[in-house]
Amino acid sequence: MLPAGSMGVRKISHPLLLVRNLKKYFPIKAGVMQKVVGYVKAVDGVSFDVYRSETFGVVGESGSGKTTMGLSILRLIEPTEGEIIFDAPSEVMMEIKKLETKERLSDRDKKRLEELKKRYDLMKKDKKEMRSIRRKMQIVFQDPYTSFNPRMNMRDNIGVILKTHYPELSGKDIDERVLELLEKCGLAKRHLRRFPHQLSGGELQRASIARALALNPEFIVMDEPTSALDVSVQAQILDLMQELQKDMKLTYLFISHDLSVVHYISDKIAVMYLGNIVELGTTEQVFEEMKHPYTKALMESIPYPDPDKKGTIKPLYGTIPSPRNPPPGCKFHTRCPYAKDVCKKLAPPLVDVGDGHLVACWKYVEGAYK
Amino acid sequence: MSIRDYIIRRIILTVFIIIGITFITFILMHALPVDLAAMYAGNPRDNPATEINEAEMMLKAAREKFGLDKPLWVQYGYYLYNLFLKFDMGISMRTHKPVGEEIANRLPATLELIIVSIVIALVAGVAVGVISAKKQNKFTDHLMRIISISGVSLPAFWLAILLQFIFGSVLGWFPISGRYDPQLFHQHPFNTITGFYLIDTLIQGNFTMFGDVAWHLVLPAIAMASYPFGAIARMTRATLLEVMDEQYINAARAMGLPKKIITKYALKNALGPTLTITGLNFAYMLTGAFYVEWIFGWGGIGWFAGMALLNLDYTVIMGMVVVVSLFYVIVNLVVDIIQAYIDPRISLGEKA
Amino acid sequence: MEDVILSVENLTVDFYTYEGVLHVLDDVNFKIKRGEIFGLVGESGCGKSVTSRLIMGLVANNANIRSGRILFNGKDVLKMSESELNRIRGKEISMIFQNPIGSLNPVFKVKDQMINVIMNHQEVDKDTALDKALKLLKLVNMPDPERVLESYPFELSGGMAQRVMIAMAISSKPKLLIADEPTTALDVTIQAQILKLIKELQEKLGMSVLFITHDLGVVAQLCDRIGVMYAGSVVAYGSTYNILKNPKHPYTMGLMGAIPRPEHKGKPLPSIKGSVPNYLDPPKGCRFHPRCQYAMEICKKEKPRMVKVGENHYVACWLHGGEED
Repeated sequence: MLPAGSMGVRKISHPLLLVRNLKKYFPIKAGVMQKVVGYVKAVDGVSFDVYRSETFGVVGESGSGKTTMGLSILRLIEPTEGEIIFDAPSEVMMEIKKLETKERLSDRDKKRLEELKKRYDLMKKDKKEMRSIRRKMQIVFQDPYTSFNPRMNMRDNIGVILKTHYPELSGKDIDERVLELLEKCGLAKRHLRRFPHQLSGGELQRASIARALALNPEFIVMDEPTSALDVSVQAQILDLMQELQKDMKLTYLFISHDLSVVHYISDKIAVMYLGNIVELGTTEQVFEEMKHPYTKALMESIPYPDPDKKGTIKPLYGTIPSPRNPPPGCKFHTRCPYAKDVCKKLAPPLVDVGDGHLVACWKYVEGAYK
Repeated sequence: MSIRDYIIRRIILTVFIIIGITFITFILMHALPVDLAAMYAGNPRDNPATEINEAEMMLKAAREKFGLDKPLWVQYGYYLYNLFLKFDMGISMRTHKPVGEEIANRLPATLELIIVSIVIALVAGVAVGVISAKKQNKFTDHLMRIISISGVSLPAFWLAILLQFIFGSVLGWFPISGRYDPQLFHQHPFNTITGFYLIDTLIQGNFTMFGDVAWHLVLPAIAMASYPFGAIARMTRATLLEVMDEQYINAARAMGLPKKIITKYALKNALGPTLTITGLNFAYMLTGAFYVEWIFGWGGIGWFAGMALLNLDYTVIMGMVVVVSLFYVIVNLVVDIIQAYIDPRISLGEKA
Repeated sequence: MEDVILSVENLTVDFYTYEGVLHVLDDVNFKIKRGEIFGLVGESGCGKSVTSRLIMGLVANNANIRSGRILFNGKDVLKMSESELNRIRGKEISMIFQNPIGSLNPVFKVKDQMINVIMNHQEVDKDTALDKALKLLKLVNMPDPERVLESYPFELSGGMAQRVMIAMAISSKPKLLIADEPTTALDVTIQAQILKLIKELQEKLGMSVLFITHDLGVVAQLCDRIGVMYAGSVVAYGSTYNILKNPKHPYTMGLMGAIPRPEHKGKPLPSIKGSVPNYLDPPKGCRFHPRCQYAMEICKKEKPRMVKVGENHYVACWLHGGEED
């Protein structure tokens, strides 16, 4: 195995976002009094770090909880549990990371860690504080058609956000700022007065990105931003995203079901299955040294546009179980060709298989896979 | 949610709905600047011949009898107590008879009328809606549109008078008032069992009277059916056209399925909104029957409620409010259950 | 000529809308041979789905077929009456769609829908039809087929619903199966299962498949020959291998380039600039010229003809002066 340093130049960077044990459970109600009889565990305890100016890719199929996770991080839906430490000074981030990895924590360390986390944990912020933090974190949705108000033109659709956060801006200021944003995203003055239905899918997605940039954010959740677009338009949007990332030092959480897109754009990748991260690592680690059977199966299912590879796809057996009633143990065991007894009983932990490459599979837990 | 759980839940909700509605009505009635007891005892100023004292005494007695001299919240508490635990809605100020009895005596006449009307409206409305949708934007569609829009826009009382005049008075095809012909009734008498005369005559094998009752129903039922017919026809056309654009209809056509099956496929999907609007109209007709019942001398509950309103017969108004809300709840419940039966995607109590 | 099952010739179709006349299909030509999988590839709005619907004889009210014919087994589908069409639809030509759950009627059980289809084309009673339905579901590798028969469509996953659609489509052993983006709405692992199933069935039943998709990856996996469509015309036509390995039309080249691949990592993707033209007023000449980096004067004036640029590889582009087909 190659050491991480040899895989291209690692940017020296600090974390912008630490997500710890994030959970989102949706209650299932039944009976006369609508009592809660169970939960859909859409996101079931995920933890990861996102570094500044990097693109963190999240890939998974429907029901994996990737979109719920993205919305939970922004607290656009309220997470059930977990810590979301965002935008702390780099010394604080490093200290938190150091304390977390320490073998044995003294009481003082524990107290210090708690205190540090508390100060920057989004879960601890009230509505007013969240509103000002939201300027720094934005989201771009999959369907640009439904994410704009159809009765407002683009100037108003974007301007309303500026006006909300900066009520002192004059109409002319907003005109100028919106135009500047649109131009940055490859649109022109003529798009200002157009309504959403008068723009093509690609143009609208550019406008969505312009809107996300309106408040000068540091962090943008990209929720399948190109899934509704054609390949040729997708390429334009991906290019635009990368250009903006370089110019504005943006950090992306890129959510997608399309492995080729995630591979192309991400620095790090988390693979999700039924609310859990099953594999996490740098793009090289995940794509070239993939460890988890699900990641492998995903790769083997992708049809590559290369006629030399005709007939090489290997379908994975079965379907994704319902998140209402997930299988016990490792949630993937019902479809896994390597499943053994232990997989059916216990959920595997995320273990480091080298250089921060994390895998949740009993195969990689020493002595457990029997 | 299971059907049993759902029904229990709805019944619990209904109790709260009735408390809320009676409360509002109660407050409104007492906010009126009139003496509610006057209807019962008669206003002493209306009757100068009587001794002033005697009239005042009667009025005072009436106030005491109905508890109108007590604080408002005590009055309301008594009302709820009597309603829920004794099923007693008090005595009518106007007729001096128990409200429950008065309503129960008149309810079947109205129910019979509106059930017949809604059946007419549903059958004709769905038929017209289907034909319109099939001939979209053709002459037939335009013609049907005129008919159904006339249905919703013509006032029921005007239509009632018109029908009565043309088919009753001028042409003499149908009787102009009443639920049956009294002369014929003397020759072929029948007992009132359910109060639904169509059923009563039928179970007693009295086909002569059955025909007579049905004949009497025609004009008022048509007058009552005109609005729901128009609404149902418009709704059926609109939803059917929407459904015909759905992927599964395309797929069914691509499989070469014949028109008959395609219509069946589409209609079952389009029925939901039609049922909802039918249910709404059905419940609305209970009170909306006032004019038609008046014009055709029907003696049903619509007419009775109208009289109560005009005379500020406060116990009857409260009673009517309870009965009408119950009726609304029941009709809605039935519509919901039918919907869930037709469309398996709708699970009761959850948003579809 | 080889054994051709379907031949689309000079198909030009307009659509009347409130905004005006949409000039959608512009001289579409392709042929599908017996027993092959032919792919019709293009981005959204290129006219590939319209073409497939026309083949099924599902002509919209506002369509105006200006020229062309669609020969299925030598007979022009466009000239058939509705009852003639209904004898072919679902029997000789079947179709499956992009949204499998939406393609099944939501208020009837799978069982009833399958029985309707089977009894429509085959002289069997209800019990036999039910029996056949079960066998068909087994043929498409449906897990737990007995339970699926008793289910409503909303109780099925996308993959299962597509298997039901496929089972219905092959119930009368059609000669041609039209698959209109059948895997686009499915997850990638389920897509792989469905692609494999279509391939297996095609071999087992010896039918032809017209596979319509925007995904060049799927095409490379599955199709023997393809037609690449752009803005209502077929711009490249021939063997999948030659077209994808050695694309000659600038649009095909652009499409292949725009797919994100590992080797592009860290570099901007070579995308096709601009967007798909408006059918109200499509560009004159070659409809691709406003987006084409090689556009010449002639491209703006005259529509290029199909020319042969290699073994089993044809393109409609003025850059190539090869022999005319």
